[in-house]
Amino acid sequence: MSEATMHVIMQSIPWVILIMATILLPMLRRKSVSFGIALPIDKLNAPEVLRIRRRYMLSCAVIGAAELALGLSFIGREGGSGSAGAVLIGFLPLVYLFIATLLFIRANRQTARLKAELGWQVPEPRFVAVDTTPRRFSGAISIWWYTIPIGLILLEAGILAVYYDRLPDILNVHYHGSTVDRVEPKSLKTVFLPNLIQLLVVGLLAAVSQSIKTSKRELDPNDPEGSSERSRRLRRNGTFLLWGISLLTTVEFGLVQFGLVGWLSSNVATIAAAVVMPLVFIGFAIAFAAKMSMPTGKAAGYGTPVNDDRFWKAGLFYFNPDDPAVIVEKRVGIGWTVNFGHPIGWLVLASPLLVALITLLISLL
Amino acid sequence: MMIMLDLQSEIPIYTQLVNQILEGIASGRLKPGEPLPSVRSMAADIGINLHTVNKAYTILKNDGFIQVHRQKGVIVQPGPMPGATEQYEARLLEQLKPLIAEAICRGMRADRLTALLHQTYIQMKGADPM
Repeated sequence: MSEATMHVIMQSIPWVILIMATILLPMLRRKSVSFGIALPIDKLNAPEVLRIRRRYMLSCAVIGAAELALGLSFIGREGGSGSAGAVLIGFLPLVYLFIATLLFIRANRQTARLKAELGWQVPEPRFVAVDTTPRRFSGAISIWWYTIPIGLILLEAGILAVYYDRLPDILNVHYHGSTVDRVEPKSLKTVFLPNLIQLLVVGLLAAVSQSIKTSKRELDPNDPEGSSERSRRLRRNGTFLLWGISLLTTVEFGLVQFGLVGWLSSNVATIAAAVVMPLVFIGFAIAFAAKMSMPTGKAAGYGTPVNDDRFWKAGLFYFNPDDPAVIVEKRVGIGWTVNFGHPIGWLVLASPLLVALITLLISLL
Repeated sequence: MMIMLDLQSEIPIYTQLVNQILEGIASGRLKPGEPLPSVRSMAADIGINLHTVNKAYTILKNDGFIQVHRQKGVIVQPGPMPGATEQYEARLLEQLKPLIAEAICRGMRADRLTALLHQTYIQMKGADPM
């Protein structure tokens, strides 16, 4: 497999997944909501609503395909290694994401207008169902599961510490394809930086898992037991997914680290870390996305729509300073988001950025 | 146990909470020693201010129906519940007076009123009080 071909594949797979995710977004619903606007359940698949949905999906597909073609043509021309090409490849998916968001907001506005024009009524929030069982029974997996990836990290670091003196003096720091193109002298920082990254990532995922545990338990007052059970299952699947990712990430960086110190040949390390592991990640994520999503058309599972539109800016961002909940369920798609009206919400949002910054700072020291 | 609240009711939310928790204990759906969500948790789930939940929990704590521990959190009174003291009976009568007055005004018979009381008691407790 030539350099350029492998490069093309590696670059386009995540891009294609991103495009698919934005196109399929309107199909992933847990609530009686279309593009962030609450609709009566019987109107969810009304012809006008479907028209807006189809237009959104088509626009995303066309623009995504066009950008992908543009990006790939660049890679093909420059062989993917030109610096201008590399920068462009990095930016184009972000540009696509930005455009897809604008398309979503357009669909959101169109749906809001439709709802107003046709006079579709959704009840104002009135009845609230609350579960008196405490948070530790809310379905999220126990944080003690994270002792497994952490134990693995400590084991790796421990083994490398014991064998430190016997490690080669020159370490393979960067690969181009499967050839090593940059080396550095052995130092504590170079050898153990992957472990630090592992700890930060696992720590971040554990924290996110805990935050899901604290999330607002939104129950449908017309079906408190049923919606409680569904939410419980969602929290269990979501937190388990995060734990699984933390474990896979630990393995991934472990492979990178072993390649670094020469315990894995550069070929094996590259294929394992850059091809096999990403595929495992993707497979795992897809399996879980399927498990977590509700079969579309299952109206009983949508819950009673509530006229909360004013709190959901552009249908995507929950802003409600009067709500003490920091983490709430997403309105569009499946998962959780922060309450932008709560100061701690912004902190939670910034936390992955902080982790990335810390990693960057330490690697530059 | 599921608690239902009506955000648009005339009855304040903290009163609704107190009433529903008491009903839960009375009917046995909330067992002695059973854990309840923390003030913060409950407030987040309902989507109301912490103070409202705090008010409800304080009333229940002062009356002795729940315990609020620093480490263990909030639990239903594990030991014996507060008894039906003279003070309590006096307070109950105060609350009943307007209800009885309206019943009299509407021409309801005393035995009908008693029957309704009896019926509700049995339904809640699940056993004959006599």
